[in-house]
Amino acid sequence: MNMIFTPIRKKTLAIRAIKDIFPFALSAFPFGVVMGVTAYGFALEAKEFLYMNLTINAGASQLAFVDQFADKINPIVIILSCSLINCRMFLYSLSLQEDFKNLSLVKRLLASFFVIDQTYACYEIHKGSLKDREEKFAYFLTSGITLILFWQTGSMIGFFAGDVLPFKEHLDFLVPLAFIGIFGPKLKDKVNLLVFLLAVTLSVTFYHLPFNLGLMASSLSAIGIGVALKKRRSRL
Amino acid sequence: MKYYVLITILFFITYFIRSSFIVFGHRIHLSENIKLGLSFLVVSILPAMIFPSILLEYDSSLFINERLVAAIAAIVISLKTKSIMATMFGGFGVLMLMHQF
Repeated sequence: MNMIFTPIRKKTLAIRAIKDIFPFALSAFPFGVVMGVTAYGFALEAKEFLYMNLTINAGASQLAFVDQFADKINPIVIILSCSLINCRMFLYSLSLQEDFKNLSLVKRLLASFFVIDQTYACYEIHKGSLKDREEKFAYFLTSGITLILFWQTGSMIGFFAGDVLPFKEHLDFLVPLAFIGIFGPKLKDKVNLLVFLLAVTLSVTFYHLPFNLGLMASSLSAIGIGVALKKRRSRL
Repeated sequence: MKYYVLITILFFITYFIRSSFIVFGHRIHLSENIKLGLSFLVVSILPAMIFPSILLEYDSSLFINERLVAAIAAIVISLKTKSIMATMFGGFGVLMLMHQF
């Protein structure tokens, strides 16, 4: 038995994961409300909405799906555009594979379900303090479950009672604010700041590319320039 | 029925994307360049996700882009405090304040 990973440590780790993911979960809640209100507005049935929420579990692509499905867009186009929106998760998966590579297949399959913007961001900030792969897995899983509980609760409230919530037209802005809270402190570094400015400029320039391709094009271009700059800096 | 079929297909594709490298690519050895590139993931992909809608989809009837001002305020708060909660509540507070005027 791993002596480091005792039940007490497990409990402490779980509490830490919940505490760390809490700000993200708090921002996912109103995003869930927005999702619920939108789904209700497009006349989805509760069971249809629940099925989508429990399986896909990716807000941006779900919003795109609901919108296109209601407009009776060609199903192949719907599948393609929603999948492309989720392509950023390839990068998260690539980034996480090193930490999870020695886990059992079941644990890797389970962890994969929780590869979400917020869980990835939270894990990236805090993984330095996690001792081994089992701790990393437990932390990732706990934060993922917590996040989904908030997201699902928000979605259901939005679906059944969205109209009575205060500031509902502004609540969706909490998600970008939580993201700013993640990358903001990194902007003190000059290369990071440049990558950030490039990503913003390019994402606006490529905004009207079909199937949300602008997101991947701008991110990958900014990353490429960031790598080149960092390597040039280290050579000087 | 068509709805459930589409959702199921989308679930499998999304799950494949999520699990791709974690489940199937776990034996891949990442080069230093890729590791360096991944270190920029947070400062590139998250801004690229949020800023186009802040910059392009604001209510043009307003005197000023309230969300842009709130986002800039949030960046400043984040740099000063390094706290996600302070950033969220500070940024949201600025948005609400601007909305009053």
